[in-house]
Amino acid sequence: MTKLEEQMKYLTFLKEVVKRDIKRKYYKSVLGVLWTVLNPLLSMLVMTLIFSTLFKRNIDNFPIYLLCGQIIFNFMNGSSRQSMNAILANAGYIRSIYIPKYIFVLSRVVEGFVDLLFSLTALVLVMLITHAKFTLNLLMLPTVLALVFIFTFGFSLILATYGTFFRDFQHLYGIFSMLWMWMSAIFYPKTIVPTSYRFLLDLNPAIHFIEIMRAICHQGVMPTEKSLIIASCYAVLMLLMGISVFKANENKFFLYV
Amino acid sequence: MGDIAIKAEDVSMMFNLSREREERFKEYVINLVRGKLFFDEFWALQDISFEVKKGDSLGLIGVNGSGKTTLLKLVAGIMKPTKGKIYTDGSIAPLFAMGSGFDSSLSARENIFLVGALRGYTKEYMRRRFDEIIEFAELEDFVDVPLKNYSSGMSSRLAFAIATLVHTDILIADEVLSVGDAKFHKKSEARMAKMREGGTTILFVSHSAGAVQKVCKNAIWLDHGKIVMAGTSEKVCKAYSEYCKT
Repeated sequence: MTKLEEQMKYLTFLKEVVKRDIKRKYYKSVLGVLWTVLNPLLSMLVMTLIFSTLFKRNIDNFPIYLLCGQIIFNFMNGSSRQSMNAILANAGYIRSIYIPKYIFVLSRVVEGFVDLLFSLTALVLVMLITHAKFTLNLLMLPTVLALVFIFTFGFSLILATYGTFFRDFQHLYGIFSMLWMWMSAIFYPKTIVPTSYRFLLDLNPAIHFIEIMRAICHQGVMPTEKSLIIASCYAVLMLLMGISVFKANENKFFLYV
Repeated sequence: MGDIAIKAEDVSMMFNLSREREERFKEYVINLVRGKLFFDEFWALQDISFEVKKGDSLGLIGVNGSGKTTLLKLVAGIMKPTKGKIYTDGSIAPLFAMGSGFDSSLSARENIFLVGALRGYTKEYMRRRFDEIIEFAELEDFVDVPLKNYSSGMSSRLAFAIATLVHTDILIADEVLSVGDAKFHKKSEARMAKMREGGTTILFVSHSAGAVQKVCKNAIWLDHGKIVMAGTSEKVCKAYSEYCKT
């Protein structure tokens, strides 16, 4: 059996775990999976009410601008937060059977991604309502989603590793995610940040993915080559980093679960 | 590998006891700053070597804390040895007395498919074995009840049924015959004998000499992480029983 075939064996398990977790998330809730569409819609409404008056002149079609950022950021933030206890939450399996441990992290990211796909319905809905431009550039959507996925998986591998060793990270993460959100220019235009500080925002990988998303869905234009190259670099580098950190530590996990 | 199913070469396992106490980032940093580089070594296993041929059965015997379960976990691939190498050839079904890999909020039905997937079996394959598993575990009336409402006997019966009723090359079993009532006990012994006939390699752990002698052809007696004696199970179990009397 080749190495790849061996990994493919675990795909069934990945599917089962994702199914289990999604089922559990909406256990006994009346609207169930519909919440993944409703949540971004409702929070978009609230934000639009608050912020559209603030930045009225700077951004047209604020709801789309906001949703693009929110959907991408929520996926990145949510998946990495969930990944932090991916190993601890699956201690039962890790203690009793051999399984490649990255599967547990991957399952969290896939779950977040399923949510993201559902939230895209919310985006399409709002685009229809606000008569946004539907252009052929929307065909770039799978590319940006793939890049975000790769980046987030890499980041999640790192968080899962340290989240297992130091449980305090989970508490710290709330603060980090707040900072990250404000640094991602989700509900304000980047232009309100003084030019001398704007480089700080550009250091944030999330912003590059969000801007590509906005180019496609908000402005209806082709994302620039430069932005795609930067985003790809971030994605690949983060994945490589994640894999190396995870690999170096995964054999120690059973001591901590 | 040829006809060898399990091979251990000079396997040693060390736990760093002080590091295991480390849980908080703060403590970690404090210890690091103090330069107290925590070393409190505990060797659970030292220089263990053995071979099990395909279709053979090997029993591990020894008092509590002798390293039996650690060795099983190494063979199952759950932990990696500190030193030495372990080779296995074929699919492995682990069966531990504690932590059978079940998700207690799910029903027996869901757990069967989840554990099946975990072991790399397709859904179709598991569906074919499903009725047999439930019947063997005597859980017909509780198929869709979450496992958290099961008695410990019920969930260990289920674990035993899943581990032994799907095809496996190597069965790794830890004190399994101590679970269940006398009737199930008998049934599981018969099932293990059948697996042995079917060519499954068995690695079996117990602190009871009688059980090891019944199940295994060969045995290893472990004490404080070292092999005291290895040979036919009859010989080893006899020596172990003598030792236990004193």
